Amino acid sequence: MHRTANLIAFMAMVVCLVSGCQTNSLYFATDTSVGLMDIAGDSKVPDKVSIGFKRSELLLIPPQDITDTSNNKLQPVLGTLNADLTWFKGSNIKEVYATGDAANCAAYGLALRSLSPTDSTDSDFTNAKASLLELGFLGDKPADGTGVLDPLCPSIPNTDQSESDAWVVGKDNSLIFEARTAFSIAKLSYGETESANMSLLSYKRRVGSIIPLFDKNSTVRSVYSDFCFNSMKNGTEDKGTIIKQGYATGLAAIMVARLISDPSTTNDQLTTSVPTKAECSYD
Amino acid sequence: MIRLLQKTMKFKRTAAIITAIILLSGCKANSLYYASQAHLGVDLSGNATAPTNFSVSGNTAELSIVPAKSDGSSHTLYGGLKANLKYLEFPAGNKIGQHFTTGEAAVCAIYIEHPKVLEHYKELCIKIDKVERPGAKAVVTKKRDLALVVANRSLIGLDVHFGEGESIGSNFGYKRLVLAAVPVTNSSHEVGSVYVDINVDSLTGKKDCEAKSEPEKILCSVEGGLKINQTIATGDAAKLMAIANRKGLKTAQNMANKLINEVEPHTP
Repeated sequence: MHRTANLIAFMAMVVCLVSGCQTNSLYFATDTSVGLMDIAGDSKVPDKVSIGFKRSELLLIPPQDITDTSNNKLQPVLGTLNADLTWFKGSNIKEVYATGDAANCAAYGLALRSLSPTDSTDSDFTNAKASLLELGFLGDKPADGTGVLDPLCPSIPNTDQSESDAWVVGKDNSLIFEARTAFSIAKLSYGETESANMSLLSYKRRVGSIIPLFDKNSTVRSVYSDFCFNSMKNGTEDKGTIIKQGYATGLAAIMVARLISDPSTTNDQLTTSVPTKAECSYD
Repeated sequence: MIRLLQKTMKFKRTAAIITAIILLSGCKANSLYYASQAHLGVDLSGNATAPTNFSVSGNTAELSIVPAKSDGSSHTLYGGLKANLKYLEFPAGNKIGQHFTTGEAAVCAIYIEHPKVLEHYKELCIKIDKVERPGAKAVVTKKRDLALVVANRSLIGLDVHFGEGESIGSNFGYKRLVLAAVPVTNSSHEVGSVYVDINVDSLTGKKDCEAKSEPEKILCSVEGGLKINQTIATGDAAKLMAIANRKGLKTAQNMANKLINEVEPHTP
């Protein structure tokens, strides 16, 4: 594991040891590393060759009050990775990381798209929505025009903390949210007496958050981060390397997550982590 | 060793800026802190006799500390980067956009790009405090205790370092550092609006730029050169620029008028 995941794992472990895992914070970290070809060694002989893929995930959800039958669902979190890798024709990598309402909303959008054909039309989406409706996952906008388009994407964060005494003056309930990305399309290092390495495509991404909960059964707050990398050529046309990433908290996280689920937001959205239809395009 | 020292120096400078921001902002927990760093480009470094490191790469990092509102939700923050890079054609053939925005300006920035999909969030663009829930216990801070601080540094182009017999280094590309401390003066209200962005375009040619509509021409060079747009704004100006930089000033004005007419007046 890399530094972010290590740090969060360490902190989670310390908190567990000190408090008997009675922490009141949610810990969620993902760590990805994709490398198509990585050769390392000294200046004469390569001693390490890797064509690999690594992924680490860590999640700690505090124990919930099981006597409260009105709220028996686990805290929503979401971490996805979709990668389409080639050596000479470019690569396409998409990642989504979300918690709280943003996680539900993004998962709904991804499910909707996976139920739709690649070249889906509005009617395909309507059918997909109907399929999810049968499973009890969403309803349409109420006829009176009020409410929200999808229950999983609320118009205001779903926290229900108005009566909570958890907010105390001076107590820090701040969440910490970090996202790091590093990629190299080509890299060559050569020292006269030291080590040498060469890589064609390497990609690393670390995302982690520590989110305090107001009480055991309150919904975790929303954070959202996504990343899209596309260097695939469209036929013979080289459109360049497209990189996009979004980073949001609070209502903005829900709004950006909401964009995944709509067929009209295929090519012009910052949220580009849709596995089927949306390509990573600049505009 | 020298590279390590260079990195250490850079880290020290960044750490100093962060420390300065925290001190200037009053070092209070009830502030929203955000830091972002991005680097995209071609790097070449080595010693005086030969280059030993070459990379076509990029890296970004974003970190935020976001206090909770009194209703249990988080303050709104929206950051992002998009880039279309043709490394081998540098400096031509690149398009980079990066933004950081908070509060109502963040909601406006997302809404204006997808008004049809996000129709339900339209009112929040003009008055996000509507989400306030009665009964929540607000924490109010004296405004004079806290300062809003935004630091923003960009480097676009060629950056070359020469050492005397030691090392050389050059970077063709884009570097940017944004640091912000936004005070939360009332925990039941959304954090104030801040909008910071940059758009760099050397990809859109003269012909393609001329074919674009007037609002879109803001972001490309009519002479086919390198176009750079950079904005920093707070308050209502942040909301307006969040809309204007995406859809043009005229659209922003129409949008603002329409919203003001449709939504009940904001009561401070």
